[in-house]
Amino acid sequence: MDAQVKAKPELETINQGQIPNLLVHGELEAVLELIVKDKSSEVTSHRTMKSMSFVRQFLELLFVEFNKLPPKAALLMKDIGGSPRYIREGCRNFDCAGGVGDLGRGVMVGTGATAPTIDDYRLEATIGHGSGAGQLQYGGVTFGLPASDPTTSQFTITRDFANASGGDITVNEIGLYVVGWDGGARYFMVIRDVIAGGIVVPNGQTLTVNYREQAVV
Amino acid sequence: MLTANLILERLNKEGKLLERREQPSRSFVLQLMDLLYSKHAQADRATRDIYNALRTLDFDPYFGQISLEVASAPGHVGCARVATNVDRHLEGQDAGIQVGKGTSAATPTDYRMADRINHGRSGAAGIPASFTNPSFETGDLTGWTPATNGFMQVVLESGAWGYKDGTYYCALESTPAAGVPPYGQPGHYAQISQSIDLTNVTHIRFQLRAQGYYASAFGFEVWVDEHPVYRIELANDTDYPNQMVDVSGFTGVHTVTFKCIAKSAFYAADHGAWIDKIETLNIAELEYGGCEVVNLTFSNPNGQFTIRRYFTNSSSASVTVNEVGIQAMGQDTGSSGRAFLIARDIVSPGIAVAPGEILRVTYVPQITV
Repeated sequence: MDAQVKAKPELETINQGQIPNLLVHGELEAVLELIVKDKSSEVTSHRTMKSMSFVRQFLELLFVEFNKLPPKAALLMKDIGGSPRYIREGCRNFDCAGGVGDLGRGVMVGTGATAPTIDDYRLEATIGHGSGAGQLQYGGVTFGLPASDPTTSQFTITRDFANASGGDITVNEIGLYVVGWDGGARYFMVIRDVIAGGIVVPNGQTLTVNYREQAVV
Repeated sequence: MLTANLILERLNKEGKLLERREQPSRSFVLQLMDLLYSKHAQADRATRDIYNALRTLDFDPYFGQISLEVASAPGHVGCARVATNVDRHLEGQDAGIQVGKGTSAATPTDYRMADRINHGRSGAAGIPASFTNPSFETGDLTGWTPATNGFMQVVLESGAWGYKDGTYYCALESTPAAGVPPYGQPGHYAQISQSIDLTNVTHIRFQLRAQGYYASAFGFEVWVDEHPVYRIELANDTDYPNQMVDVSGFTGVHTVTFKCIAKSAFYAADHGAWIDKIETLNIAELEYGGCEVVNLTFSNPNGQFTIRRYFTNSSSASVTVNEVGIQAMGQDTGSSGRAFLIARDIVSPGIAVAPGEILRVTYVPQITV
């Protein structure tokens, strides 16, 4: 019988004064925290690093929103399937509140190890959702509310990935997929990070990824 | 990472560059996180607008789609692309790049410019003349000329109210005769006047209270000679702090009159308006042009776009800019547009913009992989 791993999303709000800050003044960036836990919730691996890579779709969506671009002036963007989409203003833009198993929105993981470029529009090799070989069970995306300390304001995007595949899986790349609106929801990658050396998720254990979007004064 | 460069360029009226500063922007603030959070999580989010009011951002508004808008129209012009049926309450100057005189260090919880420079043309070169006996602390009407008709009077009083300055204030109010037939009537008034040189005065500020149950029978007016420059209908027992009158269009000596006048009948004594702390100000303004968001470009490993606004000094005074920021429009759950500060930077030393000169402020958000 296949191993059953239940990902239990936990909404985490960082207390003021406990905000891990890896950025320098004036930066808006994400801090990437990776936690692997076994079945008894013991942490077996924990890494925190600066996310290096907003890619072009992030800036494009920001440009669309800052300009409130109407349909006739929509911006051509490349979605995660490589298709060009004319994206306009919309309340769904930047939506990454994906549910369980949603491979269009939220934190995503993959096995690709090629260094990011600004033109990356998808993960190099996305790990599928499920309990088959080479797959991870994608939990729902949860959010920590915005908070600030004397220098930093931030909020957290969290997703759990449970390994019930029967074998170890090494995650080498992590990304954030969001919605862009062209009259319907299209999906775009806005962040891609490659994890040096990868992070191993042993069978039966769960990887929790926290993207903390931060701005430092 | 995303960073932003801040470029300030001072130009003469022909557009010739006189001075250029470039510095890293340091200061994205909490409201930007709140706006991004609301969009990422598809959840309403309470955050402070530029007036320190907690507004609940509507992530999925029934009317309109306003959530992170920085591009904006010039000055007082209403926002151009008004969403259907949405009363946005915003002018072009409320969104986009802002300038101010404040020097306090930026913090993540800044929700407004410390001392914003308003859109406009006022600003005088010299020190403003002051009213004689502006807070009535002589205990009499020294410097002021009172006038009344009907059942109204001008008296100095010393009771307590919220915005009184010092011991005395001036009451423009009904007399005991108003309480008996034929009672107080529309047109009855009490006023005080004083001549003053308005050459270097852009605004007059005063503290006002509508006193008594019959206060709503009255209006309060300020006149410069025969020109009405301020007029409100009073409400019963209501304070009106920091009332501002724009007198930037006047130069030379003029007679300024503060007048409480009945709009309907009144039936008792001690009802009307109280006034105190009448100040003269010289407030320098800059004309806000439209704020444009343009020039999206990419060249691996970098990408950037440009946010730019022109500020023209059409006043007679030099204006020193010490702080620069960005405000974005968002929509609350009441379907109203609101302005939120998303970035604030200190410019040190300040950059002085002389009369006739133009300040071009440019933010360049950049990402680098």
